[in-house]
Amino acid sequence: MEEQEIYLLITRYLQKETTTEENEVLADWITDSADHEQTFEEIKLTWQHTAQAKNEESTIALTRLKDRINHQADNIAKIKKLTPFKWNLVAASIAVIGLLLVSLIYFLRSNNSVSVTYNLLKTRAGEIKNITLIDGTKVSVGPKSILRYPSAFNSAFRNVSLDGKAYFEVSKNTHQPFRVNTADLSVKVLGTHFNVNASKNQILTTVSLLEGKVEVNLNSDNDDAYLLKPGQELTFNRANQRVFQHNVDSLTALGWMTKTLNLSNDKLSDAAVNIENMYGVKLIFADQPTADTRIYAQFKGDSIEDVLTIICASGNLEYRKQGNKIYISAK
Amino acid sequence: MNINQTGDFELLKQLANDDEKAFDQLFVSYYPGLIRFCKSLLNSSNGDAEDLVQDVFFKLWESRKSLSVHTALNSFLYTSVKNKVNDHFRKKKTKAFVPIDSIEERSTDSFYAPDQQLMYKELDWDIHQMITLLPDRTELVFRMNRHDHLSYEEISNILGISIHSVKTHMYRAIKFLKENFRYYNSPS
Repeated sequence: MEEQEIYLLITRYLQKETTTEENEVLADWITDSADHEQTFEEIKLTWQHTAQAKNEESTIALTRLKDRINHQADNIAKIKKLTPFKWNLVAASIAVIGLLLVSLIYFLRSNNSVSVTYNLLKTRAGEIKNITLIDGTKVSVGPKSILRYPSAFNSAFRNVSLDGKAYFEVSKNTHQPFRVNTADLSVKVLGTHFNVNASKNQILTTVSLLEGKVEVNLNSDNDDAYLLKPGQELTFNRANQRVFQHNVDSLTALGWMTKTLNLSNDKLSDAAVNIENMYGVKLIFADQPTADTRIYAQFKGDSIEDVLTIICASGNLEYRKQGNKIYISAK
Repeated sequence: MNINQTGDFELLKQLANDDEKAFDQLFVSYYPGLIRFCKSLLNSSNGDAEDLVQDVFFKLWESRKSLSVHTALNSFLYTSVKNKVNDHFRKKKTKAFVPIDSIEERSTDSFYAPDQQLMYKELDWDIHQMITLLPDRTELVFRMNRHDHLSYEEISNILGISIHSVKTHMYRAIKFLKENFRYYNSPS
């Protein structure tokens, strides 16, 4: 049999698309020779390794689409609310023209809200951007994060989406709650100061509250809402779907704003993401014991070289910097 | 005959019942492939692809109650994107998209010199990056089959190329991946 034919037969078999007859042909071919068997195993291994990788862009795109769907739903809800009001007018008034005018105005208003545009604020590694939204809410967006916000808040909620870290000082408006949507949860607030750390490629999402009151809703569970008090922090673990509540460690939660790194007996592998995002580098550990080294240290505005020197000194390690890659190994 | 298709049926039923989880799952699994496909049709990367694919999923969610899909869901989604792109071109009054077979390919020389191509990858190397080294349309065909489970015939219909071409792309992709995969995994 020709090579092309057999290669395709094997992949169709792995994709479970072959007929019984084809399976028999394939089985015969495999048992023909040791070479054939090896080819089969190699293609099988290759095929298995090419399974679709988790794609970050898809999750970001999904959040965007959800915004659009929610936005649409908000608009529909507005229009529905108007209907009884309209009928009351019909009953009470003979001024048909007046009524038409009123509904026309409402119609135009609800249509206007469709023309809201959305903006993306993206930060690179090591970069922090500050922005004041149209409602006066101040946001500091941490390194390697994406904040998506509308040009106007016309729906029932002031909705923004976040992938990454951000600190919010929400301006008060009890009639239009502010809502931060992330991959795993949403945070609803009236007016308060809080930090959200929710990156799609990180298992843990943390919401830290400094002032005021927030309500956290998990995307996976619509019924349960968690209320946080000032000084409290909620962590959601995507891997085991667990929620933890503890007190805010403000240095860990807000350290990124002042380029502060706080390692309190943390494993290097856990701190790696923070270091990488803050300095725009990539850490590569020589082996598991190196990655598991626990470090006590605190840095504020230090250079990456200083950070590495101190980490290596206290963990008995050494590092080699090559471009933006940093190789760390035991001494 | 295909597990994928019974899965589709369930998925559509869940969608009709407002199951957002099912929708999310559907979105996340098909989005990368549809974006790649859409970009290949648009022949540009100015963000239009993201908008058009989002439109397709938006419409899917809006019409989830009344949706009737006669083909497999994967092929339905690809066809929807294709129609969307046609509409898009019609609106912009530009010429229809460039047929996929006329897109220039990377030269086969660099294609078959993986040792030079990939040496610099070192530690970061992984097979997913290797897939991106395939010529664009070979990569597209491979991913449509491997990730989105479209049959050769469906791919041939969607892309407007012959089944024979589909097979050639698939064969080249598998051969390339298999050989390099062995190269990088053989104990040296």
